[in-house]
Amino acid sequence: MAAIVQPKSVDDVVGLIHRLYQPGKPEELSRIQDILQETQRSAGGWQLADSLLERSESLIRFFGALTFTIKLNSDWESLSEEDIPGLCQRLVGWLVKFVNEDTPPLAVKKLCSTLVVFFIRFSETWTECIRTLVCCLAAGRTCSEEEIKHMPPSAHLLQTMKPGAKLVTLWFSATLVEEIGKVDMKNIKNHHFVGKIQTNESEAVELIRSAIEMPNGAGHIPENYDSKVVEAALKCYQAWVSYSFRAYIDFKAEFPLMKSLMQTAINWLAAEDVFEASCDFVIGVLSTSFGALTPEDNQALANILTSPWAHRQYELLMSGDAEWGSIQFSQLLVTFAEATLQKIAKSFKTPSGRAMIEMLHGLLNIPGYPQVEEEVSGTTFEFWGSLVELLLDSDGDDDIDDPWIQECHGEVKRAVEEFWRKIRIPPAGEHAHWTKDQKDGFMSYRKDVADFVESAFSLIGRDLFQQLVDQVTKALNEETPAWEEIEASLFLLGALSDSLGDEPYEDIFLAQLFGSPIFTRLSDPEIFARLPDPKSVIFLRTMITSVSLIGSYASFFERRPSYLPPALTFLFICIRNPTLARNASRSISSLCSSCRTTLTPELAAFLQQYQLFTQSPSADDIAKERVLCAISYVIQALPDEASKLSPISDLLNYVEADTQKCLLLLSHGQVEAAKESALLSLRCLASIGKGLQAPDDVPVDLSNDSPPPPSFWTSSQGYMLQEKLFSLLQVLARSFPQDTEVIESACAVFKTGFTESSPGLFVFPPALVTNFLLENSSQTETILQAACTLVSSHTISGSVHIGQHVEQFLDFLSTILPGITPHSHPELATTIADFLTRLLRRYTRVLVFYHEERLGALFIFLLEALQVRETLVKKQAARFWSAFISVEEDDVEVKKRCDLILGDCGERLMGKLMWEITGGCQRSEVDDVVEPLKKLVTKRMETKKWMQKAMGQLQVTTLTDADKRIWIEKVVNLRGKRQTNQIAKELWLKARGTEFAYAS
Amino acid sequence: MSLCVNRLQEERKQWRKDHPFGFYAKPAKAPQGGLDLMKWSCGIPGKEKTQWEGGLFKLEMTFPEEYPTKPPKCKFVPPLFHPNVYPSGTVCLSILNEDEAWKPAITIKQILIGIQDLLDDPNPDSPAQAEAYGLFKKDRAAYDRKIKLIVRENPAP
Repeated sequence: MAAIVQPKSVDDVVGLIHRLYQPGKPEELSRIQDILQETQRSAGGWQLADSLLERSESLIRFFGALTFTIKLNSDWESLSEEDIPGLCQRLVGWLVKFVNEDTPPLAVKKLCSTLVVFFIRFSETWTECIRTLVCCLAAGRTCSEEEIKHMPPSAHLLQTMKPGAKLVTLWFSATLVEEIGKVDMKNIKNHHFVGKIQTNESEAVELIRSAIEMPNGAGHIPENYDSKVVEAALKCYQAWVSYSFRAYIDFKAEFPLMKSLMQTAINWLAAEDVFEASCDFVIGVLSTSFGALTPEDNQALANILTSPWAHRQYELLMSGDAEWGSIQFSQLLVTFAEATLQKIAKSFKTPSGRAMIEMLHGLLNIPGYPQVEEEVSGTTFEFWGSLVELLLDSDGDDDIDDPWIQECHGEVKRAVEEFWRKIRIPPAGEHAHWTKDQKDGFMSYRKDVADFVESAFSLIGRDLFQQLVDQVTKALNEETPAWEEIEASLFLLGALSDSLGDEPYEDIFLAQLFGSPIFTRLSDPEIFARLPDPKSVIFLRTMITSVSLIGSYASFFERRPSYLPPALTFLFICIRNPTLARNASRSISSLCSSCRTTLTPELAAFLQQYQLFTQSPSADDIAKERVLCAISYVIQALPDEASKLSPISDLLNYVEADTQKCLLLLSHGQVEAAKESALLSLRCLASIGKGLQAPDDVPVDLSNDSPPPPSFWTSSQGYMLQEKLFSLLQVLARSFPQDTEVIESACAVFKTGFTESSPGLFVFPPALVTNFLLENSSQTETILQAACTLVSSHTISGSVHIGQHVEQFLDFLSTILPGITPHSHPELATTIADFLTRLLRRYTRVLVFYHEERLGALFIFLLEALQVRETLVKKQAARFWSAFISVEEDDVEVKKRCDLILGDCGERLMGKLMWEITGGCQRSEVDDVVEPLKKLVTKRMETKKWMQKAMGQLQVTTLTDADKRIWIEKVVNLRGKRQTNQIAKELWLKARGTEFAYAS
Repeated sequence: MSLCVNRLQEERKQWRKDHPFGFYAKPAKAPQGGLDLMKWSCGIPGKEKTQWEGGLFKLEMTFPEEYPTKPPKCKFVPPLFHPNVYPSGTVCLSILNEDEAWKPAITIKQILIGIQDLLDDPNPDSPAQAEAYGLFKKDRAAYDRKIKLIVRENPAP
């Protein structure tokens, strides 16, 4: 391959252009492109452009036009006033030449857009641009301005203009408004363009008219027409309609002539050759410039859409063998229906209104699975959704009793039924051939239908609900039920669960549903065995849907406990099936949580079911955890603590079995598998702990501040079980002392007890927890996070005071602090700052009276933490200082001590804060670091002095002494008010200087 | 009608006409019946071929009166384990920050896709929670295992 060198002649440039379009190495092509761009931009670019346009090859001409565009955009200021008219003449001249020579569209279209760029730059000198092109292209040569003035009107010239020339004028006129439309009209400098386009309106209208007129009357498609010209004219017209509509909205600029063509343009729908273009045109106008249509235009469209022609298109669509044309017809129909929704909704009684709505229903009856075999029905969601919203909005209006509303209700109900047919699960063979996208598309469609049905429920609630339940119960009466229909109804019923109110009919229908033999039939192995293979998928899907449905209606079962047993039996059968296990366990959990009190007599049965489930080798881990949690919910509801002992003990035994398995694996050196077992055991324990928590709606006694009385769990039997639980935790932790995940999971078990306000199995004595955590202190962060929760839960009133243990943790911190800094261990530093912050509510005394020397190290660490790069450390440290400055303390001694510490730290603290605010921190951190400052201003007299000193020592070149002084005054005057944040941000910006700006 | 409500209605319309698979977004129910356009409940599926695949994460989008001049607040419910999600569940993302990359032209669809992208491509420069950020930085293997667990707990239907 020849070397790539700077071109010395036009031939060289041509050579490079050829090479650019031939296959080559990417780096070579990019090098060629760079050289070409450089040449185009050079001073000789104008001349080069002309030379390239002189060549006959289309590609080179394209490049010539491109070179002109580049020069016009980058170097237009180098042109003198005298140059401009000449350049315009030259460009038009080239266009005429191209048209005369039948140059391919690539180069001609490019030159049209170059002319548009010229117009944008020099519109003052070329006001009547379309007229110029019409005259020159009609004459086949460039004409002077003077000549143009004396030429016949454009309408006349256009009559005899060659189609090729007309086509090019249309391209130019379309590009003209498209590009002007992209100019930033918020800039007042560009407002003049609207007037310039108005000046060209009449010429554009004449041009388009000449291309689309129907000389034999409206609706009579001419016998001979050039489809390319008509298509270009429709495209051009759409561009003008869209531009003029926006100009009217933004500037109230009128384009009175434009509208005169609308009906003619619409009538082109009936011309087969240009159907796609005319359809695009109407869809475009309807969706972007609907307001441009007059009532007459709308009527004309409605007439066309209900004409025999439209009926043929519709029939084609309904045959299920749709081609692109008929799909486009459906888009047209839907777009029109969306745009004229209100009118259509009120016209179902009229023949055309009826015809329209029938076609819209028809779109939901096109054969085939949606998004797989047909993609039309999915385009109607917006129409149906808007119709429902229109009706809901009319609710409460005066015309609520109008017959049209009732008619619409009927149509919505019918649409629901049609969608119901669409969402049926396909048999196995069918489904197997779908691609992943098709499967996703189908499932997504089902979800969209569910959303629509949910909104329709607000409108036709009772009827809809009854209909869906009836569909299920009726189908179940059949010898061989249509499971796909049952599934579709259950699926939609599931979607309604969140929408139910407290209408009495809801429970009546639900009782009908859940009292039906649905669950016995679904769990009947014989029915499953008799199903032909393809149907088994549908049956399984029905089971999945039923499982979710039960969970969604947990509150019904709570109100009507007599319906619980068959549902739960069904769910426990389902968890043994790996495909259903997770869904089923979720529904079991939901039912057990809601209906815990009712279910206590069933505990023994549950435990037995659980045992059956765990015996299966494929028992799913998540399902295990969920079911353990579910059973624990029920145990929690037992009336006294002693009765909980035995069932909990059973549950722990199951977990213990997993723990034994873990130890066995470990002894065989299978560490990874053993760890999995350990984690499972710990997650199961946490699930039990979670299940045993008192429900949120149980009142908590906040008035009682005395320590709780000895409970069942701190004496004999209960205590023994707690010991057993603790030893399980200990065994697991000791088996993996270096493993963060194991220790974290063990901590999660403790945490389930932290939130409890009454004694319980998982509510361990704080001493025990503290010892456990400190024993595993190699996992420093993990155990400190747990310590954070421990402290918080022992901060609420009524909890035990754990000052002694807090001190143990402080001792621990003091041992690790010498080895770390906030810079070297940012994550750990965050946790330490968090822990110390939490002490400031109940354990301030423990903190501030801690060994003086060690305390100093802690506070220095917290000061350092303010000035690290990591945002989380900084924010947490700022939180500590805010809390410390404003600590509320009744104890005078403690208060005095806090003041003393703050007095010692104040100056250094302020130094850090000022450094951050004057550009040291990230902008998003200013709000955080300003908090301690706001607190200081209100609490400490010395704040101003500290600020002055800190500012004085800062070397920020962008801030003057006056800036600093004024700012300090402002801060002091604001007395910690919210505006301090704003002025802090301003100072930050000023300090950072002008180089800082967000990309937007 | 206010600019905010107008825009939200248009967003709803556009969403109903076309939305990416697996996502959902709809106005929440108002306590007094009807829909509350100012608060949407959304679902974001984990992206294909990433470790988040198979999960579906619920998110609440709350629009201020000044929307679309100001961005909506996006909050995972329940809060999500992720370096750029605050402990409260609020998402930290430049396009959702009025002072950064928010623009009134950004659509609900773009926001949700932006958050989906963020799931597997966290931004270590703006950590929002210590737990996920720490693990992401220090122990990628443990982070990945944790994500796996989260996906298991929030399966797509």
